[in-house]
Amino acid sequence: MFRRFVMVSALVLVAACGKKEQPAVTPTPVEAGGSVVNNDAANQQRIRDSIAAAEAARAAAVAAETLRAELVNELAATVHFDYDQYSIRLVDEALLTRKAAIMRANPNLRIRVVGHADERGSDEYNLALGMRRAVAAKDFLTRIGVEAGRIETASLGEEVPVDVGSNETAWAANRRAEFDVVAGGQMLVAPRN
Amino acid sequence: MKRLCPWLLALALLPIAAAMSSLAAQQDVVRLGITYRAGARPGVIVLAGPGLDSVRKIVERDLDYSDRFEMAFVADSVAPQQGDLNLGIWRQYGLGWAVELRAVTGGVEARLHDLAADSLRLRVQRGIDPAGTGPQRLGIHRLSDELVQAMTGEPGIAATRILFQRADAIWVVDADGANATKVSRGTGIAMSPAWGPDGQRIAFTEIRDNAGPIIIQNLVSGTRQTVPGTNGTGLSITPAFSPDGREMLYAASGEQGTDIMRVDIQRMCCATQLTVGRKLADNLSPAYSPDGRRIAFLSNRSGRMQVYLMDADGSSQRALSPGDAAAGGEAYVPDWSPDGQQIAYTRDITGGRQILIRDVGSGRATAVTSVGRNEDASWAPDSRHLVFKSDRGGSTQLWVLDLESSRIRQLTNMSGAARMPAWSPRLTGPVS
Repeated sequence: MFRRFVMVSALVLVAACGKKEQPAVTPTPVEAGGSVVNNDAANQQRIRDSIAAAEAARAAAVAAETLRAELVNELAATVHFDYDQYSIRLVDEALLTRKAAIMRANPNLRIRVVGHADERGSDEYNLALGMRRAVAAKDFLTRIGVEAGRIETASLGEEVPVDVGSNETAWAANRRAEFDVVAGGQMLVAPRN
Repeated sequence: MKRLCPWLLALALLPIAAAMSSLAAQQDVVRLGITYRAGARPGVIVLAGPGLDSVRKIVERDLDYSDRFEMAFVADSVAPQQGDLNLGIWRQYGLGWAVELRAVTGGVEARLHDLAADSLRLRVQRGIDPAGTGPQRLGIHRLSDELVQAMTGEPGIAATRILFQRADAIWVVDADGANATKVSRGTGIAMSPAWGPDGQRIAFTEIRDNAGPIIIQNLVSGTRQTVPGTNGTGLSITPAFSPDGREMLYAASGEQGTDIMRVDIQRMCCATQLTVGRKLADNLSPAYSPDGRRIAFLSNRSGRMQVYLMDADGSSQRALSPGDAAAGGEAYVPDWSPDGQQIAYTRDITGGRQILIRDVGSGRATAVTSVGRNEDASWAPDSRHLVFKSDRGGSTQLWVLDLESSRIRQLTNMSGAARMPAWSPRLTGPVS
């Protein structure tokens, strides 16, 4: 975005300086070095103030977007499961606790948990197992204060592996619950802690 | 297990000097190529007149795949049958039956000669297009089944088809492995196909947009219906039609666990919950007994997945094989044989996943596979053949096993896994 802005500015300048017989339509100049010079001091100050304000707003927007992206990433972080198990592993508890904190700080946020299984169980039992994994993740979140109505659950069984291999590494990667933001993710604030 | 196809190993090309009457008239001694190995089962040869070579090959294969005969295969080099048969030659080589196919106006005439009794057992004319392909082949398969019926007293299974899942869609293939065709039309992931007793309606789960309703599709008219109550949150999986086609069982999988439901699909209403797993157990993969009075299903209420039985109203729930849970290993996907005598299911046995047959009366169980990972057994209407998925050939494909002879053959050989097979009833009406 920023790069594109610079390129457009450069094009405008080239157009303005290079060919006087076809002057580009330019807005009120905002920088020294432009083709028009304004000598009114108060006006200059106003322009400087508005530039500062716009830059501050833009910086804030960039920071908010960066934070939002980080929070969405944390919400989307996948948890994994042991073979034929659906209990939340200790190693994933911090990750889920963080998701719950983000959800508590953003009451409009709604998520979906989709459970998955590796290829080893029966095809259809894996749908039920994937559902249990999604529900286990949901239950963990609701136990620490997230309203149940804000979390949808679904299962894709073994149908959508992230690793199509038939080995321990692939199976471990495929036994998982994935999280998506379904609503309220446009503006997010960080939990206080 | 001793395997698999003693046939193929023992095949011997026996050139037989024959003097079929028409050929003898040419004053030549012609060497006929046939392959035949005499065995305990009656020998059969199929002979065809001009233009019926492809029909002969289909009938030959159908009779072979019935696993009830020792086939005498006629080599491609053999000239078409002309004129009357010299039955004595075939009797001399120990054959029990000769099938004679002749083109007649509008179809094919089949004559079945009982060689031992020296009598004509069957003579029928059927409206078959000898060049028939696709669904047309079903007419030839029905003729094969009539011939099996006349020779053995029981109809064959050639006029049947097998539903299966491949690449997120439902497919159907003829019982001889021909005509694999995609039949589901929806988007999403279609799974767990089941046949209605009419052989026209099928049901399957269609997972899409985080829901998983059960779709009933008519293969002839193409209409699709969503089973009421299955289009909400959660998934509705493992559908099964009742033998009378009026009700359907399926498993509803959601936040309260996975439980078996019964729904009236004639009036499209009135779901009843048959199992109560709460969050403690999953119950799924129901299979009706052929009289519709009992249901076999899977449950992990005792820890591992095991096969359970219940009455059709959900009462009297008990383990099919109480010893299995203690013996270890999960069980998978039961199917009740059409004669009601046996339940096929799958168990993890040391080193593999094998198909077991449990005699409902005696409770005796027998493993019928021993090679590779096998699963999802479905009975043919003759209660002696099973189709199942297996990785024994490398990729996951469908295989057919004859329980009487232990002969096994590969049904599908497609790119990607073929799985979740369901064998149709005998198809008497139109199929597409």
